Amino acid sequence: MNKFIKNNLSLILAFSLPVALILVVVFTTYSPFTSVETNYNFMYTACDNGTGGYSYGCLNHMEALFSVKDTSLIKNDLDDSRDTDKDGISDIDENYHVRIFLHDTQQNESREVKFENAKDYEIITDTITSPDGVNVSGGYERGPEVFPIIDTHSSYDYYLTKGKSKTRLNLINRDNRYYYRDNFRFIGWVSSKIN
Amino acid sequence: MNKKELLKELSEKVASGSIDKSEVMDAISGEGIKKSMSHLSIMTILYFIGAVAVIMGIIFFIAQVWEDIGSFVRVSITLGMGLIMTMLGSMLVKEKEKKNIGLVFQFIGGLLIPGGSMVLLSEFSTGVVHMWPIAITIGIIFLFYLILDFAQKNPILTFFAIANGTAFIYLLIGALTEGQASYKYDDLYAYTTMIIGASYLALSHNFKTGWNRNLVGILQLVGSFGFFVAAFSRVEYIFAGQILYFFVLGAGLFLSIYMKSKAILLTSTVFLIVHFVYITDRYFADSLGWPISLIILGLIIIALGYGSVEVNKKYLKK
Repeated sequence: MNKFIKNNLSLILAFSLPVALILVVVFTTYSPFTSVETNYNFMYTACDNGTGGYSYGCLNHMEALFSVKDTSLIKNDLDDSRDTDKDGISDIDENYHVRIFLHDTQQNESREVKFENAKDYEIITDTITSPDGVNVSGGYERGPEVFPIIDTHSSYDYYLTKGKSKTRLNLINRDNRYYYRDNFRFIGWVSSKIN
Repeated sequence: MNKKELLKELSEKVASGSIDKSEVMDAISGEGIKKSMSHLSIMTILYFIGAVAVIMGIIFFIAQVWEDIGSFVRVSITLGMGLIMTMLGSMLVKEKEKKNIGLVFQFIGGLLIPGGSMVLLSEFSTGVVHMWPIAITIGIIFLFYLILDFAQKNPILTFFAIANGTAFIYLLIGALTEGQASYKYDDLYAYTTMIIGASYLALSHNFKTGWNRNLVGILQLVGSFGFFVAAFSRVEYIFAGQILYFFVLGAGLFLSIYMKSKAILLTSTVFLIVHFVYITDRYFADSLGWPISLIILGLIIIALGYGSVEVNKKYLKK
């Protein structure tokens, strides 16, 4: 064994250097010391225009439709003639579908909730900073450009951030958020208890 | 047979016409061997030209009919043909007379297999292809060539094992870090390139005796070039990077002597010149002016060139 190592030291070194690098990358990427955690879940809305395609027109509609009052989510009555994106088509005719999601930060997964259930959740704060100092923020990732022929598509993602650390959020419709980041509206941090 | 008997037999053979005087002179001077070697080189060149023609023909043919063929045919003419070429090559290299043709087939197969695998992924994926499937596919190809190389001990297979292994490392790191954390990809890939460059140099040291000795030169050239380029790209971002880089290049020169490598000597010298040009441009061009800076730089380059030749003469040619 010692003879094998002595005779093939350079070969062992050639293989072990990249392996060591990969282990370092794995540790720094997936280590609990570098990921961001919070004790709170959060609520958000997302929408599409019902006929598919880009949803950039419905952010303003989402903002007008739902708001937070006295730690609860409320649904506002909107004028039928309202045309949020000023394109001559009223919001009702645009067929916007706004959905409410509750994101479990421990599991890093979202599930849709009906408004009738969502309004029962206590929204602790509607600021993007949670009570334990974690933020929800967006960022444009150009993707690792490994070789010119491999298109590692860029995307606009949302992250839990604290200081320099950040953890990507697995939100609904993440893969479709290629160019337009407006398919997301943060509502607020919720406690785990239901009112 | 003593010298007298040998000379007597030789003169009898020449007198009888069995051999020619010029053939005797060629054998003594080695010209005959050179002619047979050049005959082999011409064959190798023809094989190479033929292989290039085959590859170009395949590429153009595939490009012409690509839109008109279905997924199964697309995968068959790329990945399928690559696998067939490699298998044929592996069978042919076992026969001494057909070894060179076998190597050519393996070379063609090695170029087709990775591309064919990407075609397979692309045809049978739904929507965006993420990095993990690509990385795993190239990893499987790397393992395939590694196993085949250990079985057949063939430098062409080693070449493709190293090429696919290198691609696999870059892709794996890309897949591990995709969207996961706040990575500065420029830093990450620079350090990855330096690690791979160092691995290439370690491999070249191991390959000096064995069936892969033909790869030593290219590994040393590419490994040292990659290492120095990647290190140079970080010079501005590391504390005292500009000074440290001189030590890196010094280590390269020392390594070229230790490994008796002209390739490492060449790249070390070239990057030493590049670094001097960079330092001159950064710190002296504005204060001294470009004319004086060029004079000093020119003298440095001449000195470096002379030093490099002397190192080569004194340490590498032994």
